[in-house]
Amino acid sequence: MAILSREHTPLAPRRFARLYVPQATLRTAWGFLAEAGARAQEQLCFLAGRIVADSDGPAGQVTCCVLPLTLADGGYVRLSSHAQSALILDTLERRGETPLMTLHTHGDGGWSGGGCEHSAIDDAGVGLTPEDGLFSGIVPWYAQGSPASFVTQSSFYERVDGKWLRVPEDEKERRVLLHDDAVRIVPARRERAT
Amino acid sequence: MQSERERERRRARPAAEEAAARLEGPSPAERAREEAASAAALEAEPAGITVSVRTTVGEAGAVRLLATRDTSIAEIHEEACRELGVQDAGGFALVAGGRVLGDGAERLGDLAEELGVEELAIRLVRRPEAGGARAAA
Repeated sequence: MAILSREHTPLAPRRFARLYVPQATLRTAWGFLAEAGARAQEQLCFLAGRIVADSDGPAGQVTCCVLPLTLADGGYVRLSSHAQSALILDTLERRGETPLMTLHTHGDGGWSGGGCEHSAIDDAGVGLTPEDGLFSGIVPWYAQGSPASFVTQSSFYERVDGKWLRVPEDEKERRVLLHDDAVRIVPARRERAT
Repeated sequence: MQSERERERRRARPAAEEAAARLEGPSPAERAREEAASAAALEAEPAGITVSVRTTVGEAGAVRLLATRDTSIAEIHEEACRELGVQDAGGFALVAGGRVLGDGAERLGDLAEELGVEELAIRLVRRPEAGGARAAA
């Protein structure tokens, strides 16, 4: 073995109390999903932004959407290359942003009556990074409905301890909040030690 | 006739001098210079290359390796996946300088040279994918 030494920085435990999503950003992402949906194809995109301090812990503030090049058909979608994943991360890093949610569409509304569910492929593959705290949203019916129904009709998952857990129906509207405000990020002031 | 012999002698002189030099070998001064140069070359050659392999936009989920220049990309991939606890190593690829490092036999030293860097910053990424359960079945 030619590796002389190694130093590992583990992933930090992370959970967001909620995710704030600007309506305008959601509409842009929705349009991207719906355009593929009109051709009866799945689609996938990312919401990214900053981690902000909320009253009860860290929250995610979406500041942009990433609309990648994908290969898709009616039941499957994948980014076109690994190089693109790296490019997205490089770009977000330069902008001081981090992936917060992966959105993708399903062609149906779910089969168990409780909305769309993560498939095994989704579990393994939707995350752009392996971090906890990421959200995953599944938009039913190829996003052919209105973005106004985003929170109520979509299914949400969050990654906890490396596993995707479903956000319960009664928590969705408290965890994923749409807003019309223009986003202005103000860095928190550090308390000075006295 | 005289000048023909002179030309012959002139042609033969450098060859004779070269042969003498070969027999004598380098002078002590030349030898000392050569030894100093090779010692300096040894000092200049770094012990290895520092490689940072990252999976996120921050420093979390990263591994920093010091590896010899002849370490293969396949070894770095394997080691990074093991250190970072990546279970589906086959689904992940290393990317550096915008290029997927698809040739596992490629050597770190060659990659650093190609990118013109002393330290390698590599991303370990997967191609995000999603699929309805029915389609996957």
